[in-house]
Amino acid sequence: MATKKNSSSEPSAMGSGGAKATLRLDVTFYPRQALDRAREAFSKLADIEFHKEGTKTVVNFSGMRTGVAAKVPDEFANFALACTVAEP
Amino acid sequence: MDTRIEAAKNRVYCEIDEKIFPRGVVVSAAYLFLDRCYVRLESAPKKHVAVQLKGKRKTAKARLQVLADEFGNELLHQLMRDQVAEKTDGLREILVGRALLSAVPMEEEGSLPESEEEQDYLDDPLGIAVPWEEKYGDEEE
Repeated sequence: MATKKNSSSEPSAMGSGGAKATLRLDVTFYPRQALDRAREAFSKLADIEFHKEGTKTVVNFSGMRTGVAAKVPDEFANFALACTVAEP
Repeated sequence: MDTRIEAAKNRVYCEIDEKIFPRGVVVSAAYLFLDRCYVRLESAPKKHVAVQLKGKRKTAKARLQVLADEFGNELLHQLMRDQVAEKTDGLREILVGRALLSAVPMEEEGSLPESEEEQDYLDDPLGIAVPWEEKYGDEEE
């Protein structure tokens, strides 16, 4: 997790489509199935897209409301981790 | 476990050696902290797992230290559970197997052995229902 780029969520300024953020998650701890389940659960809070970059899954959030934008990526990561344990 | 308190970032960062705490143990411990902080797990070099525990609200440095210490304790706890589960795996399988088998209902009423069907619940071939006095009272006197 050493680098900031790899571990952090990066919220960005709000445009016309709502706030945006990016999250990079290790594929060994956050399998695609868990991410899909989390995306479904968070679908009302943000538009979420995935793409793979080496050992990371890059999660792009867009269209988030200002009030929740700061918390959505972290809550999303927590939810995905819970999914891997509770329903592997 | 190499731990670092990063108060400015409101988080604890630690690297855990997978040779001491297997990956499953780290995930189990992290799972128990999901309600208290934002948890992030990643692979780190040299077979280590990097764990980041970030406060859900602004957290004092002392509190972050407590969080790190509690996470260390939880790692040990989960490691112990893992080892006990591994040691008692066979026994658990036997117990569950027996419990399940005893819960299986008979397929048909007529499938009971003939000798059992002939038995009556009032029968007492071993004399269990006979009072002790009736059975042995005279002998002692």
